Amino acid sequence: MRRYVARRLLLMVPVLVGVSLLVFFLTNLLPGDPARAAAGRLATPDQLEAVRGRLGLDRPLPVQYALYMGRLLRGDLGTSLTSKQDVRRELQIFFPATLELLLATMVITVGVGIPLGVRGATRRGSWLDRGFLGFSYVGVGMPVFFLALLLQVVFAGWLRVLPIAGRLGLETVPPPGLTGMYTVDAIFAGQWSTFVDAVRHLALPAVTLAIAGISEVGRITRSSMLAALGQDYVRTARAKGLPERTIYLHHALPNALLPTTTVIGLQVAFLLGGTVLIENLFSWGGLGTYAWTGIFRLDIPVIMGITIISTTAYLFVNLGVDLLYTQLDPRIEYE
Amino acid sequence: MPVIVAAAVAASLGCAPAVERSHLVLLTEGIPPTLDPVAALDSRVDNPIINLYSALVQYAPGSTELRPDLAESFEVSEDGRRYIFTLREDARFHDGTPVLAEDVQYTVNRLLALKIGVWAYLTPVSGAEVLDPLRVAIDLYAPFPGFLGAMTRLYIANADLIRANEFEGDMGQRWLQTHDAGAGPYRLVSFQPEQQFTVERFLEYHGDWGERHIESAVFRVIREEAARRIALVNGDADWIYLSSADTIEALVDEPGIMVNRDPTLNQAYIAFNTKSEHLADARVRRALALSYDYEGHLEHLMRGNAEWPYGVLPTRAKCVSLESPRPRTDLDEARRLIAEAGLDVDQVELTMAFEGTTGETPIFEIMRAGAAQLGIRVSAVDIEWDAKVENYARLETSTDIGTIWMFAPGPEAHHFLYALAHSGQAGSGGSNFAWYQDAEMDSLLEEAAEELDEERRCALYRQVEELWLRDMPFAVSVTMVGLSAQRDDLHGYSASLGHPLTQNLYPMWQSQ
Repeated sequence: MRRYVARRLLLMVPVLVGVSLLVFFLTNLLPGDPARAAAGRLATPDQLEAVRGRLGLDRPLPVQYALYMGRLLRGDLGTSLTSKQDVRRELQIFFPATLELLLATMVITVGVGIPLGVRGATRRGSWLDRGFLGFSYVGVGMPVFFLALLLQVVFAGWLRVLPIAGRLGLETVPPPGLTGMYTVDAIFAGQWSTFVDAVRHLALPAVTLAIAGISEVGRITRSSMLAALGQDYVRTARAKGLPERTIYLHHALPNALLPTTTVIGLQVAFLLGGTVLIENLFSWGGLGTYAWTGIFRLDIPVIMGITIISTTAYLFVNLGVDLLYTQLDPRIEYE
Repeated sequence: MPVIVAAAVAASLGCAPAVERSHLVLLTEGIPPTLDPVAALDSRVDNPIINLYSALVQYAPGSTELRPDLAESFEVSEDGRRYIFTLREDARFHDGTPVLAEDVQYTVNRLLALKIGVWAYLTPVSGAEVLDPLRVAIDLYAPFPGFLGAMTRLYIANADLIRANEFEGDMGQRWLQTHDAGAGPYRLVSFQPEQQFTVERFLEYHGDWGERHIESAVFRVIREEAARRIALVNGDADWIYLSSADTIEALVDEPGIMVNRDPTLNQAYIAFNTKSEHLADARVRRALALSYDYEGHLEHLMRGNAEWPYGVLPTRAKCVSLESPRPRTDLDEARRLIAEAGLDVDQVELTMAFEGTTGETPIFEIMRAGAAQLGIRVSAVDIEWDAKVENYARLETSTDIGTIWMFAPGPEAHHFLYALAHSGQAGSGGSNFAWYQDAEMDSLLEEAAEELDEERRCALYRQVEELWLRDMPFAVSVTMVGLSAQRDDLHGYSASLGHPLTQNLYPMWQSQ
């Protein structure tokens, strides 16, 4: 297993290099001049040349890429062309916000999706099963921006029980920045009112993002459970007189969770790159918003930094999912 | 189900009691990319800066009347090339140090060294000289009637503070991204990138605070207009920026809410690339301008929330003549011009650049529909501003047609006409997206730029307008009306013509 993990970790290097290479060259193909983005719209030709020289943009692209990768090896993600700030430092601000949203979304997705899927399979044709199937069509089919607006109108507009946007209320002081995730930091600091405020702000964006995930995870769990419940080992368990609950949870579910785990892994990958819209709608101030502004301002170091961190996170999630398979199914072994 | 899930979440958390707000809350569409005052050419930057910094002279709130700000008085040399400003003795920066002539000189030198942002408005400035601690002279290469108006964007910064925070000779650019070195009525409390910034009243401000004022304010970004509207109606916000006529109409009858429709100097132009194969003939450009449905744009799209300009300038610009012809739609005349130009419309497909993300798609649609009436096809190039500027920096990457909004620092005609129609403004980031070059036009614009007598200057701009309408490098679309909404207990908000899309807190106050 250790060798497998080491090999997967080593394989991440060429993947990261490949992705960074692709993004670097594609970004440079976009219309727009990063030097002008840095120097300002009305910069004189002399100024543009000076900025190009200072940022190394006057060198051939392969050289620029090699220099970037050289700095990356030292942990230097460069400086934003527009904000003039260290990209690594900015990522430390924005990434935890997205991570917090992603974790909350996954907690809701898994916490609601799997029980609904299991219940649907074990009570096939019941009102709950039918209701869930109906919901899942809507959940998968409804555009996320529309759902976000709908939830904002209902819970922030009509019922007025949840805040409409932001990460904290105006009167709430952010907790000491240990992780950058306000909910976690508030717990560490023992600031319970801050924690409640942070969770209230997290609720709408996380639920919006989770709706599609619940539908997908629930459906795949349901169909996997149905398949598992038809297997011989379940019949044997029933013949042995085991309680239904034990059969569902200890025999059928672990086997049914394999495809579910794959879907959850894909869901995390989607969320890593798919929160742009939701972060903008809810003024979340995370990686998605940072990416949005970075792309609009043609801020190449920012785009590269986001790509590197998102790809790395995705690769680790993928590895985690593969390792989880071995826990769910002891027959799976990695050489 | 979404409702059930979210309700469960809400119920599990309990409905937190409403918190009494101690801040004024303003919801905007975009966060400033920097707090560096030199970048205040960008209205997103000008918005915090007008609250955090002071200039030597400033427009009175809601008007284009110039008033002294940090300067107690000023005098102009006979040749119009030297302005001597005498500073107020009581003006203080937010760190408590006095505002001195040396700070003004540093601010001018910084502008001339960086040559970015508001430098575009102040290119005639050649330097500054300290005459004594409270007197400073600013020199110009040539007389410039728009100088004082443009100086409302030259915000004076604390020289010592910036020097102390320089990084690798950047003149404080990096530090000023997120810090305040001003002497304005409000000081920066916090800045959360992409989310919000908070300001609080600066007690030592040199202006008169009076009895009613705003103690602190939060400018928060909520990009979605529907969400801003909900926040306002719920009482979670006091003022919101709007861009849609739908939202304005929905809020008009809402109790406790007022809608604002403020005049602006912000004008949309449609550039016709004069170097383009099919648009080189002025008759074709005039035909396209005549095919644009101005009335439809104003009445149906904007539902009256825009203005129909006279001639080529916004209605409230200086030197506007109400006798100038308004842009008009005349398809018969347009077809006649096309025929006269001998254009084989079947062979023509034009490209048009516009920014879909900032609501310019309707301008493209109206232009396309108008051109289609003439048998000309127009295809879309939906592009972001930075990329559009870069495309227009080179002739070979410029589209045939393109939109451009002019946000001027004041009502001087120079800020519109020189920037758009002078040949020196073509390419390299300038606003002459039409690549228009005409020696007579250049000469008139240069002469007007230095003419201090307003009557003679306006006469020159009349001639400019005639040339413009003859050659039609740009069609004039509409003038924006600033849309916003607020709680009715907020008073003193006024849109400034010279500071578009900003919210100046200083004159504001809230009733109980």
